[in-house]
Amino acid sequence: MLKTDRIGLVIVLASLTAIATIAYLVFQYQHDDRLQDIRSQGVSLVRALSGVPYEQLIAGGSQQGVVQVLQHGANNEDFAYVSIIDNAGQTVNEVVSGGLIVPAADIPAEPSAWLGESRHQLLREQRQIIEFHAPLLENGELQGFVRLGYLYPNFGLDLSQLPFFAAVALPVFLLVPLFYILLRLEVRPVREVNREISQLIDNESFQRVEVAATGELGDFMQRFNRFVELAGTRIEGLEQDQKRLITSTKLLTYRKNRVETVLETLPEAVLILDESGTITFANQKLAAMFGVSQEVILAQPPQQWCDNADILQLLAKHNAGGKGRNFTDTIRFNLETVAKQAIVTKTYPLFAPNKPSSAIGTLIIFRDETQEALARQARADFVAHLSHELKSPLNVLGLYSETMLTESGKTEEFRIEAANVIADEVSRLSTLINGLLSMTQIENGSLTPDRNLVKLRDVASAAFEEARHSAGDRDYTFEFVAPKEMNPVYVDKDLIRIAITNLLSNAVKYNRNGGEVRLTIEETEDAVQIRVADSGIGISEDEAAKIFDKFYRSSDERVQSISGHGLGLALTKQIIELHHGSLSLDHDRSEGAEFIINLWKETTAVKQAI
Amino acid sequence: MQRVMIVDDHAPVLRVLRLGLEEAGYQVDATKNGSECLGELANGLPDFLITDIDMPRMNGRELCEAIEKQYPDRTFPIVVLTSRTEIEHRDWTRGMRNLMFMEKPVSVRRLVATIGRALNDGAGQQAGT
Repeated sequence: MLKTDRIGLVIVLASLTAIATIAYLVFQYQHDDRLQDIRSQGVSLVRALSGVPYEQLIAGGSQQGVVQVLQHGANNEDFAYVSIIDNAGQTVNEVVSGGLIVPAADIPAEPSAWLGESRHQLLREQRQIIEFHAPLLENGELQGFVRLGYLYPNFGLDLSQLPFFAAVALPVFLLVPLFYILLRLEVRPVREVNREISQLIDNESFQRVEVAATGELGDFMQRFNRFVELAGTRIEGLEQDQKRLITSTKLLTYRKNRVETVLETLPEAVLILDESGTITFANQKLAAMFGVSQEVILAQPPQQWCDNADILQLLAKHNAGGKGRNFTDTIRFNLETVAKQAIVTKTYPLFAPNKPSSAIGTLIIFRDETQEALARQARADFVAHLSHELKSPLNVLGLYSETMLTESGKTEEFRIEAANVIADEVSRLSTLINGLLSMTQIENGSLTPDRNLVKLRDVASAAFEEARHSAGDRDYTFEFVAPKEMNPVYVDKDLIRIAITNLLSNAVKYNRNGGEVRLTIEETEDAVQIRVADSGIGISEDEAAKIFDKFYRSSDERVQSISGHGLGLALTKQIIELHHGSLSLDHDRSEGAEFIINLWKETTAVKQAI
Repeated sequence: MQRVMIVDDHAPVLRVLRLGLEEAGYQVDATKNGSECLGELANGLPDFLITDIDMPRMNGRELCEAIEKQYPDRTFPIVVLTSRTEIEHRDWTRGMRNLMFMEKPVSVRRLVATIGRALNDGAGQQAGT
C-alpha cells in the first residue's frame, strides 16, 4: 500500500516539477525576448537622438523639445528617462517617468566608449536600469551626451500571463489523477500477487497463488505456481531425507556413544587409529596414563603428549604409507612419566565388517601391568629370600654331615657339637617353615582363626615364661604386668600366643646386657592392649616403615649378628590384623623398642564385624 | 704350608670349614666379618680367601671391593659362598679378577678340590665365570 501511495506522490511531484520547469522556461523566454526588444529599441532610439541637433535636444520651458516629444510618444511602460548632458556632465534637459530619479553616471572619456550600454541600480527601488548612451556632436565637436534609460525587465509571472499558465497547468493537473488511477488499476493484480506471496512467506507455506491475471502477469503466475509446486515437491523430498538423516544420525550417535562407553569402561587404556594412522579415539584412561586431556591426544601430534620413544615408534608404524598395519603385536615398555610403570601394548588391526581383507584402522590397547610386574617381582624376591633362608641352615647341616664322615669329625667332642648345631638349625628351619605356612594361610584366607573366649593373661604369661627361659643365663630383667582379673577375649589362643612370643623373642634377641624385657597388659572398656618393651638397640625412623615387611632385617650390624629370618614381625602383624586388631611401634621411646597390640573386646559391634 | 683365610659370621660354619681345610693340609685363618678380615690381610696376604656374603659390619661384597681397591695386584683367588643364584646378585663382580662363586649348601670336599685346582693352576678364574 505504501508503495502505491509513493507512486502517486511521485507522479504529483513529477507533474509539479514539469509545470515548474515549463513555467521557468517560458519566463526565461519572455524575459530574454523583452530585453532584446528594449535593446533594439534603445539602441535605435539613442542613435536617432544622437543625430538630432544639440539645440533641439536642449530646448525647454514652454517650447516642446524633441525629448519631451519622446516622452509622450514613447508609449512604452519600460521607458525610464531620457537625459541630455553637456560636456561638463551637467544635465541640460531630461524627461523622466513618474517618480524616478536619473542615476548619476560618468561621462565616458574614450571616444570608443561614447556609444554604449550600461546598467544602473535605482537608488530607492529594487530595480535596475539599462541605459543606452550616445555622443552629441556638432560639426565634429562633442557637445554632450544623450542618455536613454529603460527599466530592466522583471523575471517572473505577469498577471497578464495568468490565463496562459492556467491553460497549461489545468490539463496537467487533470491528467495526473487520471494517470494515477490507470496506474493503480494496472498494478492491482501485482499488488494482489504481492499480498498473496507475503502471506505465504508469513505462513512459511508452499501453496499455489490463485490470482486472476492475464497477459504477462498471468504467464508469470502460471510459471510461479509451477515453480511453487516443484519447490514444494522438492522440499517435501528434502524433509523426508532430513527425517531419515536425523534418524540415521541419532542411531549412529547412539551406536557411537555405546561403543565409546564400552571403550571408556574397559579397564585398559585404548587408542584407535584410522587407516591413515590418524588418532580418532582415545579413552580417559589413556589420557590419564599420559597425564594430558583426551582433546590434546586427538588434536596434537603424538610428540606433543608422549615422550616415550617406543610408543612414538609404534604410532609412526601406522602412519600413512607405513608398514605393519595388519598385525597384532605386543610391546612392553616403561613410561618415563611414572617411574617403574610397566605398560604392555597390544595392537590389533580393525577390518571392515563387510570386507574382512580391508583394514580400516588399528586398535591399540595399553595395559598397565605395573601391579602384575610388581607382584611378579615380589614373588621372585620372596622365593629368592626363601631359598636364601633355607640354604643357610641346609649349608650348616650339609657341612656337619659331611665332616662327620671324615676323621676329624669322628671325635666325641665334634659329635656332640654337631648334634647341638643340627638341632639348632632344624629348630630354625622348623620355625621358618611354620611361620611361612601361617603367613601363607593368612594371606590366602585359608586360615580361619579358631576363636574362643580366652583368658589373655594366661596366654601371655605362658609366652612370657617361655621367653624368660629362652634368655638362659643372660643378664636381663623380666617384668610382667597384667590385671589379675580380666574379662576373657574372643581370639585364637594359639595365634595370639605366636604373636606375643614373636614380640618377646625379638625383645630378648635384640636387648643389651643388663637390659629389661617388659610385658604389660591393660584392659579398657572396649579393648585390651598388650605392650612388649625392651631396652635394646631400638629401631630407627627409617627402619620403622619397613620392619613389618617380610624378610626385612635391619642393616644394623648388631641386628645382622643375631640370627633371624625377618618373618616374625610380618607374621605377628598379620595375626593381629586377622583379629581386626592393630600392631604398632611406639616411636616416642628414647631407648629400646616397644610394640603395642590393640585387640577389641567382644562387643556387639566386633561380633558384627567378624 | 699354604694359607687359606675364611670369612664367615656363623661360628659353626667357620669351625667345620677349618676342620676340613686343616685336614686337607692348609693353614686356616678364620675371621668373623669383612672388617676383621681386612685387618688380618694387613698382616699378610693368604694364598686363598673364602668369604660369606651376608655378614655384619662389612659384608662379602664390600670386602671384595675393598680388596680390589687396596690390593689391585693381588694374586690370591677368592671364593664367595652364596645362597643367591640370581645373576643380578653377581653383577657387582664385573671386572674383578680371580673371583668365583660357590653356591650353598657348600661341600667341604668340593671346596678343597676347588682350592687345590686354583692354586695348582697358579692363576685364578675370571670374575663371574
